[in-house]
Amino acid sequence: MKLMRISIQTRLQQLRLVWAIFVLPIVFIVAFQINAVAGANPLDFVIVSNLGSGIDKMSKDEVINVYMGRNRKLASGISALPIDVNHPTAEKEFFYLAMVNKELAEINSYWARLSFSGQGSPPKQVKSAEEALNLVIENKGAIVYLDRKKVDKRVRIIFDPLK
Amino acid sequence: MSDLSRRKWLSLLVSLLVCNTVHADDLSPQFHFSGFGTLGFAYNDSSRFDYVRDLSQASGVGATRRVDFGVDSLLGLQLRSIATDNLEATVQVVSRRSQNGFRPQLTWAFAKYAIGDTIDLRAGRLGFDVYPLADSRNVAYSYLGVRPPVEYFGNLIISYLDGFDAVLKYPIGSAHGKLKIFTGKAKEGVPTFDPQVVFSLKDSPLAGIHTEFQSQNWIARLGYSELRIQNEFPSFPPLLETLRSPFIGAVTPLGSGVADHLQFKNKKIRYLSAVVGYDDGPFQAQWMFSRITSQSLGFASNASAFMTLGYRVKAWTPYLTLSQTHPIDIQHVETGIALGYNILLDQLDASVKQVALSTLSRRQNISLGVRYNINASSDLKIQFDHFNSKEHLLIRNERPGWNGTGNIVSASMNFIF
Repeated sequence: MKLMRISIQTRLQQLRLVWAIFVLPIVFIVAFQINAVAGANPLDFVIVSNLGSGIDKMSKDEVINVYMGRNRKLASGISALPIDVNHPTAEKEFFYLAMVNKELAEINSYWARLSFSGQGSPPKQVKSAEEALNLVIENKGAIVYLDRKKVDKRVRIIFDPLK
Repeated sequence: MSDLSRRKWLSLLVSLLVCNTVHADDLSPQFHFSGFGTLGFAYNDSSRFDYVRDLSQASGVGATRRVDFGVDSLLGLQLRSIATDNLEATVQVVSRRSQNGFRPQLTWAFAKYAIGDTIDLRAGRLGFDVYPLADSRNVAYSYLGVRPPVEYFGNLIISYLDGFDAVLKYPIGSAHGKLKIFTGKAKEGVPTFDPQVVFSLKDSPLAGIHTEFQSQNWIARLGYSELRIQNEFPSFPPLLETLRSPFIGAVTPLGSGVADHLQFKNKKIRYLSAVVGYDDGPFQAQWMFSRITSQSLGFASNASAFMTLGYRVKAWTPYLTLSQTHPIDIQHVETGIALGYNILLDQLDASVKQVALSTLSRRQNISLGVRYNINASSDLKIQFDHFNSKEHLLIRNERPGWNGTGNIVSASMNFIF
C-alpha cells in the first residue's frame, strides 16, 4: 500500500511537471493578448525605397525580415540598407510596435545577441526623417519608414500598412 | 597555435580593422566601437556552499562571501570594422570572473566574408555556438534572466575556439533555414575542485553542426558538437600509472582497463541539443534540451533542460524559469580489487570510485524574476532562485552538513552601448 502511494505521488509530480512545461505556455499564449500598439503614438507610416531599387512592393514579412537582419538583399538582388530614424523616437517605437509588436528595448536586446556574437548588425541609425530621405534618394538599397506626409516623388512607396 | 603566432595573427586583424577605417568610403561608419556590461550582486542564504555561474568560476557566493558582486558582473568591449558589403572584422574582449580572476579574455577575433545573402564564412576566434545563447551568454541584456540557467549552461567548459565556421542560409517560404558547421581548437582551462589546479583544454579539437528553422514567431534548432580532449587531467597521471603497473596487474586483471576508461586524453565529449522558441509581441518562451555524453569516467554524462516564460507589461517583464540537470549512463566502476586486505589497495579502489562520482550533477532549480527596462539600452533585473541539488558538480567549496538546497537572491543592472 505504501509503495502504491509513493508511486501515485511520483506520478502526480511528473504530471505537474508536464503540465508546467507544456500547458502553462499555451495558457499564456491564449489568455493574455494585450494590444501594445494601442498605447503608442500613432504614425501614419509607409516604407519607401529608392526609385532604382528594382522593387515595386514588399510584403510585411519581407520588410520585417530586412529590418531584423534575416534578409540582407532586396528581392531585386541589391544589398539592403534598412534605416532607423531616431528622432522623434516615438516614430521608431511605433514602427516596431506596428510591425512586430515589440518595444525598442526588446529590439535592442535582439540586436545585442546578434551583434555581440558576430551574426549581424542593426539598421543604420540616422537622426532625422530628412536625413533618412536623403539616404534613400542616394542609395538604391536603402529603405525607411516615413510619415506618409513626408513622402515625395523622389522615392517610391513599397509597403503601405493600410493596404 | 603558439602565443607568438597568435599575437602576430591578432596584430594582423587589428591592422585590418584600422586600415579599413582609412580607406573605406561607403556610407556607414567603418569603425564601430560598442560594448556591454553587467553590474550585479548575489546573496546566498547559506554559508555552506558557493553558488557559481558556471564551471569556469572557482569560487562564488555563499561560503566564500555571503554577498558577491563578482558572480555576474562583467564588461565587454567590441571593435568592428567593415571593409565592404562582404568583408568585416571584429574583436571582442570580456572581463569577467573566471579561473584567471577578472583578467580580460579575448572572446571573439575574426574576419567574416559573406557570399551573397546565403553564405557567411568566418575565421579566427569564435564563440562556441553549441546551444542557442551559448555564444552570447555574457550579454545579459540580450536575455531575460540575471544569468543563463546554470543547470543548462553551467556544464559548458568551453566558451570559444580558434577555427572556422560556415553558415548557409536559405528561404523556406516566408521563413528561413540555416545550416552551420564549425571546427577549431579549444583554448581555455577549467578550474578543478582544487582552485590552484586548472584542467587545460588547450588545443583540444572540436567540431559541430546545427540546423535551424526560424519564422516570425518560432525558432527550432537541432545541433551536435564533439570535443576531443587533448590533455590529461592534472592529477590523473599517477593514478593511471598505478592502475597500469605490474603490481596492480598481479592483483586484478581489470586495472589497465579501468585506467583506459578513466583517462581524459583522446576521449570525446559529445553534445546533442534540441531547442524550440516562441516569440510573439510581449510573450516569449524557450524550451531547451541537451545531452552530454562522455567517453571518460572522469566526466559524467548528463542530460539538461530548461524552460523560460516571460510576458512584458509596459516596461516590466516577469519571467519564470524551470531548469534541471541529471546524470545519465552512470558507470559503476569495478576495479576487481578484493577489499579489506591491504589499506593501500582499498585507497586505490576508493580513489577510482570517487573519480567516477565526482562529476555527477543532479539539480533542479526554479527561478522567478522580473526585468525592468530603464530605457532602450539598459535594464534592471531581480531574480530569486531556489534549487535542490543531490549531486553537486555545479557547486564550489561545499562545507559539511549542507542539505543540498539553496536560495539565491540576485539583482543586476545590464547595459549596452
